[in-house]
Amino acid sequence: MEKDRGEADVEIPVGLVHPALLEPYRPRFFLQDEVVTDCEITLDAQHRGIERIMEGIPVDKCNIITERICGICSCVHLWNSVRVVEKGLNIEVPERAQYMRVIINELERLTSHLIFFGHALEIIGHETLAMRAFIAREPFMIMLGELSGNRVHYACPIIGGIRPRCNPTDDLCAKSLAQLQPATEYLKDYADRILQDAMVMSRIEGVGVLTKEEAIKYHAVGPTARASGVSKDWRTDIPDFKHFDWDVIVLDDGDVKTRVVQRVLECLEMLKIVEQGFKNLPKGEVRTTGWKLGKMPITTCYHEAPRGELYDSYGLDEKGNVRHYKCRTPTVTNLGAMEVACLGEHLTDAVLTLASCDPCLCCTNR
Amino acid sequence: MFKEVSRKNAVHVMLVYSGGCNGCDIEVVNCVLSPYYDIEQYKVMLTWNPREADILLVTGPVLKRIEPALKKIYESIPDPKLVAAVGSCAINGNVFFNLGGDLGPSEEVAGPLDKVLPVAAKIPGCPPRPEDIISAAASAIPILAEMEV
Amino acid sequence: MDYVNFIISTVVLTVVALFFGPVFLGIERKIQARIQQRIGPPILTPGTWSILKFWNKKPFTPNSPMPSLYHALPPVTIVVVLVILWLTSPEWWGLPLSLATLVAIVGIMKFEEVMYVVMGSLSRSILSVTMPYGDVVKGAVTKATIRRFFEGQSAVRFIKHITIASFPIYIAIFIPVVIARSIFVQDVVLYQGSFLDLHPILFTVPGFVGAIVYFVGYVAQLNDYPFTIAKAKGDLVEGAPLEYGAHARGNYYILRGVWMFVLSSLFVTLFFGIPPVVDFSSMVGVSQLVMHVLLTFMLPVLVSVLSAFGPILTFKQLYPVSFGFTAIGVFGLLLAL
Repeated sequence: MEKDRGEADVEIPVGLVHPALLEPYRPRFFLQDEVVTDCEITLDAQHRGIERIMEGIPVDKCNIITERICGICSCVHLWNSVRVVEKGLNIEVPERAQYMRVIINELERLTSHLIFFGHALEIIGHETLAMRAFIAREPFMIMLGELSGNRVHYACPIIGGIRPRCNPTDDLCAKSLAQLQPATEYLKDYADRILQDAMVMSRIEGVGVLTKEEAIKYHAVGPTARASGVSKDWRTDIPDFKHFDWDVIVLDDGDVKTRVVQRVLECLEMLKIVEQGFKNLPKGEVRTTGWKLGKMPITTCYHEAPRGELYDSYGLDEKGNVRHYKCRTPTVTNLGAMEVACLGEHLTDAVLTLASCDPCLCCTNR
Repeated sequence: MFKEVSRKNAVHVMLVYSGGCNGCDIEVVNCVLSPYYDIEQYKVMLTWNPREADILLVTGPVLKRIEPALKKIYESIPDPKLVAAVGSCAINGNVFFNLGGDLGPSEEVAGPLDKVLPVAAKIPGCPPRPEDIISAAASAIPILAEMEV
Repeated sequence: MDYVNFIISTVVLTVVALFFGPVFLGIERKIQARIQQRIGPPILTPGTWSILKFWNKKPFTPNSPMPSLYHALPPVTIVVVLVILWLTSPEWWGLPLSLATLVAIVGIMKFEEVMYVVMGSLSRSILSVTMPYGDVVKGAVTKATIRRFFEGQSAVRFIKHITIASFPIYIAIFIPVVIARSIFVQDVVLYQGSFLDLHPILFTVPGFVGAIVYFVGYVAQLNDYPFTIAKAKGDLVEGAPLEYGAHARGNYYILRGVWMFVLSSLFVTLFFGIPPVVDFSSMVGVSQLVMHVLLTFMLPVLVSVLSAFGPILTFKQLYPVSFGFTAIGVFGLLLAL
C-alpha cells in the first residue's frame, strides 16, 4: 500500500550542519501542523568524484582511495575492491588471511553498529545511554588499533592476502581474546539496559514503520531490510564466512525499535564470529605472491557492509590500471525507504526515523 | 573583566563536516561523547550553534558544494574565533586533492581549508587520534585567550 | 517601613540569585557527567565562566527582524523573574501594592513562558532556511507556502508546551494555598511557624504530593530533559535562543540560571516555610538566608539526575505525563481541603 504524500502548509529544511545529521545532507520536511506529510532528501553535498579519480589509476593506489570512501566501514570497501581483482584474476587467498579479514571486518561492523546506538540515543535526547554506547565501543576500537595499527583506516586486505602488519602474533591473539570477554559482557548489559528502559522504548516503539512490501519496493538493504522481514545477507555468499558458525537475524516489525533490536542481536552474532576467529586462527602465510596484474574484464562483487549491500565493479587494462570503476553503497536505497517510512510521524520522530537506517552519507555521495 | 581567565575556562567548539570520509568526524565526536576521552574535563564543550562557538573544527577537504555554507557559518561565529583543521583532508586535501588518474584529481574540492578560511591549528593524521585532537584543542585555548577584541 | 532595609534586601537577593543561578548550571552538568561515568567540566565552567566569556566577545547584530528587541528580551525577563524572588521576601510583603500573592506570582511565571514564544518568532538563524545550499531547484518538491525556521517551529511548540506542561506547577503552587487558606505568601509562610519552630508543609501528606508535582512542573518550566520538546536538540538544535551570541548569549545563560534559582527558591518558601530573609542583625536571620540558599540546591540536583535519564518526550508522551501529574496534583488539593 502506498503511503499518502499529502498536502502541507509548512516546510522545515534541516541541515547541512545539524546534530541529528552529523554528515551534511539536507532533508526537507513538509508538515501539516507537526506531522510530516512529505519529505525530500537532497544528497549531493559530499560528492568528491571518487569514481572519476579512479579512472586509469594503478590498482594498488586505487585501493588507498576506496578505503577513504568511508571512515566508518572502511575495511569492507577495501575488501570488496580487493575481491574484484581476486575474482577477476583468480588469485588464491591463504586461509589465515581470510580469517583476519573476517575478524577485522566484523570488529569494524561492531564499532559501526555501536556508533548507531550512540547516535540514535543522542537524537532521542538520552545522552547518558549514548555515552555508554561509546564506552562499549572503545575496547573494540583499541583492539582494532592494536591489530591493524590504525583506529579507523585499517588498510588490512591487499590483493592476495592481508598486509603483513595486520598479521597478529599469538600473544596478541590471546590478548584480544581476553579483552573480548569483558567487552562482550558490557555490551550485553548495555543492550539489556536500553531494551528495558520504558521511556526510551516509548519513544522508539511503533515509530517509522517500514513494511516488508515497502522495503522490497524501495530496495532497502542490510539491517534495515532485515528488520522489515527481508532475509538477505551477502555474507552468506562469501566463502570467507563459511569457516564460521553464525546466523542471519531477521525480524518482522519494521519500526525503529526493531531496527535497534536487530542490530543488537547482530552484534552478538558478530562477537561469536570474532571469538571463533581468534580461537581457530590457522597458521601459515598471509599473502600469496607470484600473481601478475594484467588485462581483466569488468568484474563485479557484492559484499555486506554494516549498512547493507555494497557493490563494486571495475576492469583492469594491460598495465593493471583501473578502468570503469563503479561503486554503489547501501544508504542511497535505505534513505529512499526511510523517506517513505517517516511519513505520518511527528517531526521529532521523523528525524529519528531517518537516522534509524544508520545513514552514511560519505559512502553514498562518494 | 576576567577576559583571559574566562576564555581559558570555557571554550565552545563547533564541528563542521565538509566532505571527506567521516573518520575524523567520528573521532572528534568520540572525544566529546566518549567518557573514555571526555573533552569536557578540559573545559571544552561541543555545540552545534555557530553563535555559541569559539573554535570551529573543520574536517574534510572543503567541497565546493559546502564551501558557501562553511563560510557563512564562520561569519556567524562572533569574534574572537579560531579555525582548526582536523585530519589530512582539511590540511592538504589528502587523496581527493592529490591523487588522480587519467582525468586528474577531483574537481569538486575547493580546499584545502587554508584556501577558504584562516587556519590557526592543524591536527594531522588520517584520522587523528582522539588524544591529538584533545591536545590540539588544549593548545589552541591560550591563543584564543590572548586574542584582542 | 525602613527604606534602607528594603533596598539592601532587594539588592542582596538579586546578587544571590545572579551568583547561584549560573552555579546551578554547572552543578547540573557536573552531576550529569558523573552519572555518565566521566569527570565532566569544573562546576563554574558551564555557567559562570561561560557567561563571562560571552560577555567578552564582540557584539554583533543578530539575524532578526527586530534585533534590539530580540537582544533586550533576556535582561527584561531576568528582571521580571527576579520580581518573583523579591515578592517572596518579607520586606516586600508589606508593600501597599499587595502583589505578594501566589496569583501574582503565577501571572509573572506566565510572562516568562510567553517570552520564549516572542524569542522564537524574532530569531532567524542560518542553520535552517537561510543555509546557502541549493535545495529548492527545478524538480524539487514545492508544496508548502511557508519555509519555517527552527525558531519559528520552536515558538509554535512553546505555545503548545505552555498550554500542556505548565498545569503541574500551578496546581502544586496552590496546594500550600489551600492548606494555609490564603493566597498571600505571608500567610503561607507564617502558617508553617517561625524559623526556630518550623512545621513545613512538605512533611504533610498533601504537601508531599504537592512537592512531587512541583518538581515535575519545575522540570517542565525549565524545559530541561525530558520536557525539552520545544527546543529539542534532535530536530530544532536549540530552538528559540539559537541566534543569541556574544553578550546576549551570556544574558540568556543568566536567565536560565536565575529562573532555575527563583523557582527553586519559591519551592523552599512555600514548602519549607523559609522565605529569603535578608537580616544581618542576628544570627537567626543570617542562618535563615543560608538555610534558604542551601535548600534551593535540592531541586536542581534532582533535576539533573532526572534529566540524565530522560529522553525527549514528544507530545505523544507529554499529554499523558502532564495530565497524569495534574491529576495527582488535584488529588493533593483534595487532600488539603
